[in-house]
Amino acid sequence: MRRLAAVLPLVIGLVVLLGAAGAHVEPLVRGSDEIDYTHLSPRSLQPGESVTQPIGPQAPGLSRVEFLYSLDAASPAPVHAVVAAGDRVIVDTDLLLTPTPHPRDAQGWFAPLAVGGTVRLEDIAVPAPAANTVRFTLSVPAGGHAIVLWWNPWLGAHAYRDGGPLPSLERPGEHLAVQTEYGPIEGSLAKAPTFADRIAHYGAPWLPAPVLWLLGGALLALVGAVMWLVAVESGDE
Amino acid sequence: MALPSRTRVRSRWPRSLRPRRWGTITLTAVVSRGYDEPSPGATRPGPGRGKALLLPILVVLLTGVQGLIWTQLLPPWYGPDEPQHFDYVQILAVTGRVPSPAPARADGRDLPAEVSCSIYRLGFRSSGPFFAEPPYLPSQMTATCHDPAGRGRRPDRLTNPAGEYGPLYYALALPLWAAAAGKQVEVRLEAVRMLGVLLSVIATLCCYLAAFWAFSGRRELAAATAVVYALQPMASQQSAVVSNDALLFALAAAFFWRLFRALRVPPSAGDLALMGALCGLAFAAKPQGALLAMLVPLSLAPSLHSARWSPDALRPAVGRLVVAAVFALGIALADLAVQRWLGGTAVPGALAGSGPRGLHDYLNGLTADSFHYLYFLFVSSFWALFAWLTVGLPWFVYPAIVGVGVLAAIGLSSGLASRRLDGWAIGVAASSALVSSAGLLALEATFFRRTGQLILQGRSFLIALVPVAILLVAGLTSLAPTRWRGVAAAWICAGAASLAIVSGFSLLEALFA
Repeated sequence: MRRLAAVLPLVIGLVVLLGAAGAHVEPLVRGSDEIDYTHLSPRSLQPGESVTQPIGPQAPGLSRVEFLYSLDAASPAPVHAVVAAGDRVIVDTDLLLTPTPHPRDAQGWFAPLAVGGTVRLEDIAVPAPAANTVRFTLSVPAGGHAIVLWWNPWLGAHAYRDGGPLPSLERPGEHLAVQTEYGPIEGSLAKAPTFADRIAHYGAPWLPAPVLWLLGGALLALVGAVMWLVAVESGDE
Repeated sequence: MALPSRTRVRSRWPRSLRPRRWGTITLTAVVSRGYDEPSPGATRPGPGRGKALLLPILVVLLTGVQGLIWTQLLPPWYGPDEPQHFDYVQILAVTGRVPSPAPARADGRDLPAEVSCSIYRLGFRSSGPFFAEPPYLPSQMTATCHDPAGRGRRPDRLTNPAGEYGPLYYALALPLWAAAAGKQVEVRLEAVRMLGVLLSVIATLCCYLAAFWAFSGRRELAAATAVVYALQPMASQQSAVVSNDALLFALAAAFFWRLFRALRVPPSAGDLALMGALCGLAFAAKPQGALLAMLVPLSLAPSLHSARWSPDALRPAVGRLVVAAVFALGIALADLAVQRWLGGTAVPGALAGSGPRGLHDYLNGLTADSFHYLYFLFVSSFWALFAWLTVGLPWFVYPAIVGVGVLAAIGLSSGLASRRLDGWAIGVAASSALVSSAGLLALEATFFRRTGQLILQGRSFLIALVPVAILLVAGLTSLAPTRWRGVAAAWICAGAASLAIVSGFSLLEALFA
């Protein structure tokens, strides 16, 4: 009885973690160099205001757009989001943003990530992928609550398209912190072989993807064996 | 449980555990204690030698497996200061000398061309914005920075921020670098990373042994402590990348093994010499390793206490401390001399000079914003803040870790009050953690006076992870009824494993999604 009770948390924990991983969905690949987390600046978007950020897709099959925000409010606040390619409106939707603790200072960026989720990435699915430049427009309705959007003074080299990153229309010297994602949106567990391939590509040649799977299984087996033996040892006392 | 008196130790403990001529005890004799003598209160004979070795063997295997996994969870160069540490190894291999200490150059001329190329290709910018993700678009996965002629292996300027460290860790890495010398730079980096995995295995074994002595031979508690140590996420990261932290952790764990052994077996001059040597080697690994020297007197406290601090006991104790100091200083000076001989400068830079800022300013920095910096030091960056502090866990995990710590503290208090816990073991563990932490903060205070900067991170305090793990296991298991203490120890292993798995998932999400 005690031995079973010893290993039960591991089994339950694994089921919970795998369930959470399975429920968590994401596209195949994320755009690169789009958000500089060490040089973000906050700007408030007031009720009645809007911002538009042109985005040059880095790959075919744009499937999701995420923007970084903070919301110092007691209840969720509505915003309106539009994704358009030329004259064609791909996404035209209202979002309800979850409140976040107000960040103290962009200089202390590492702390908010670790301490309390003071900023969030809100994602918008793009059902009809666009290959050319799209425009992402975010607006706060007239009776709504102000939100804080985050801005970068520059982007990384991988975000270039046709001569350079595209600044926002309202702030020509800055880029709204927007993340793009591409490919089919599916559960993280279904993406596990992709993770293993990517890890193996950048990793040690003596640890190819099949070996990584074996190591993962061995780790779980060893933890279970140690837990069982620990319970057995205590039975000898 | 009170520590036996000195005379009773000699008669109660089996022959295999009594001090030998040089005060050493073989590993087999230690881990197979159950073979010689049943555990207190046991109703059946203890397990055989094979069974007694099974738990530590499994824990060691677990450490090696998870160490290999961690080396792959962090893409090349994504370990803290990894480009600089690898460059130190490569400079030593290519030129036979160590780099001079200097801050990282903004023009990047202190890194080899092949390293700069690889860093840029993988999306990490050492002199600009850092984006916590390598690029996975197809066009960026095929290019390499391979330089068969090897011309790009030496930087223009032989300076390095790691140049103030002694060459011990980097010299140990040379055979691994040489084994991959003809391969591209990322493969060489991965080869050198294997040194950290090996050191983590040694460190975990020493942690098991330390906990074995701390818990009076209770293997299940020793195993739980070793699992907590092995699976601690920040220690796992530091042992999986190219960093002299891995060597520091291994030497500190060996030191704590000898320290906790001294609780049960009065240390001889040879034991103190070994402890002093470990302190000297820890300094050679990283200067803050010298803080371990402040803990050496703790090894003599139990035997002096049992001798009622008589002058007859104090005199040889002082003599043994002198022996420890001689060994520690000797090795430290040898390390500085070798560093000088290899072309480096041998002065640790943080301690010199004074400035306009006082202790009051430093304390204000520690406590500002509702103790934000202390939370960063002892919670978020001590437990899980990876890849140059850019990848963390879901925010609710950190308060949960604090909650577990509070539970452990409650368990320690109640266990000590009811005498279920050994006061000496808990006292030595707590003193070790507090003294080493205070020492690190004192070092930072001297640096702060000069520069006004707070430079510590949580991983700096991992030197005390062995006593912290012992305190956690002791405190949490003492909350459980006696019959369920083994189950509690197993649940602690499950908790450590869950934290490690969540950390792995967070790294996958941030760096490979």
